Amino acid sequence: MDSGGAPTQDKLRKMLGLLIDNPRVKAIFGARFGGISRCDDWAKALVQYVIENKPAKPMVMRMAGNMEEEGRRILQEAKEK
Amino acid sequence: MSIIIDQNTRTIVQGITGKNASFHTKLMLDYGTKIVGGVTPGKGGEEVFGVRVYDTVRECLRAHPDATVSSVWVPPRFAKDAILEAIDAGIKTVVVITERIPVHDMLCVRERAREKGVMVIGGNTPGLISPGKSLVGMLPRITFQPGRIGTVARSGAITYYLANSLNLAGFGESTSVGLGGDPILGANFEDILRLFEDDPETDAVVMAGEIGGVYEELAAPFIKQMTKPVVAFIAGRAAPQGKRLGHAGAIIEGNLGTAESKIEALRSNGAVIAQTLSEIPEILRQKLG
Repeated sequence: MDSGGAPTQDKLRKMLGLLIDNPRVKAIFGARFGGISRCDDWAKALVQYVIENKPAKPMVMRMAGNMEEEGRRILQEAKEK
Repeated sequence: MSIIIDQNTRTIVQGITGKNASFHTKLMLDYGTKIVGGVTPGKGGEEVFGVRVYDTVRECLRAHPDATVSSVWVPPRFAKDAILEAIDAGIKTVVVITERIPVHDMLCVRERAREKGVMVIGGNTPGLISPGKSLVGMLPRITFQPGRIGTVARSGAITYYLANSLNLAGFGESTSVGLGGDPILGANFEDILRLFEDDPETDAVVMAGEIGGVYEELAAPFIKQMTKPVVAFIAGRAAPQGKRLGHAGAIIEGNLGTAESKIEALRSNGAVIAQTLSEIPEILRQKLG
């Protein structure tokens, strides 16, 4: 699934929901190379989705590019909570 | 050297007060890009990260006559006007970040650009970068290193991954150009290949195309005339017919735009075809000895 350029956090959460809710999907691999898209938006959407929906399927995410450090900080903080 | 932009290039930002444009104005300035002015109609006199905003491109160029490159970040329905305004005001290269510009608008823009000898890059381009010198657009700076490989791709993310794999192998880029993912583009592969062929600081070129349209096929005959090695990668080999893959232009319609057709055209004209981005450095090493 392709998010298109500069997706909002809301759109990213909906994308995750569509994939997770599909019974044929066993696991999710995500890749975010921040250009016009921002890694911090991606991380915030991911954290909120996981907190709200507690998905049981494994998710592996790759993240690099613009706002990568901020994105990693958000994920790290969420992990510590 | 490098192509299109270097450390001396003066550039302006159209739509500079928008959310994405202002954020990336900051990132471009941090990189060292010389942004001399911005344009948003009705917001003349404001400032964005120290960059003065003007109401029109003409006004901006009156104050900064040395600006030759503009990046356009306005919403799709205003893009045609913004690009034509830049062309008519005397800008030489217009980098169109805006995605999903109406097809007829882009056709009109392309004709005007041809008449006036202006290079329009995009729409839906991530922009371009001459590493260490200048960045126009929103490519992530960490991915690029100065070097002697020219890259040209339709997709932004592929531009980044490609540079990443070149850099991990010890290569770098003279210039990396994103052509954009919309169906109608300004600059095409051949335009950029010609510039790389003439650039003394580029030793080889990597082009990354994708399914949809015929831009790759149209560029193929020029590759035969080139003295520099060209490595080509085509994204979307597994794409089914009729399914749009992310970009508005990335779609196989009937027999048009298949990966096979592009690979065949490029290969038969002397390009080396790479199956994956990660094998490109090894191919370059062999070609460059």
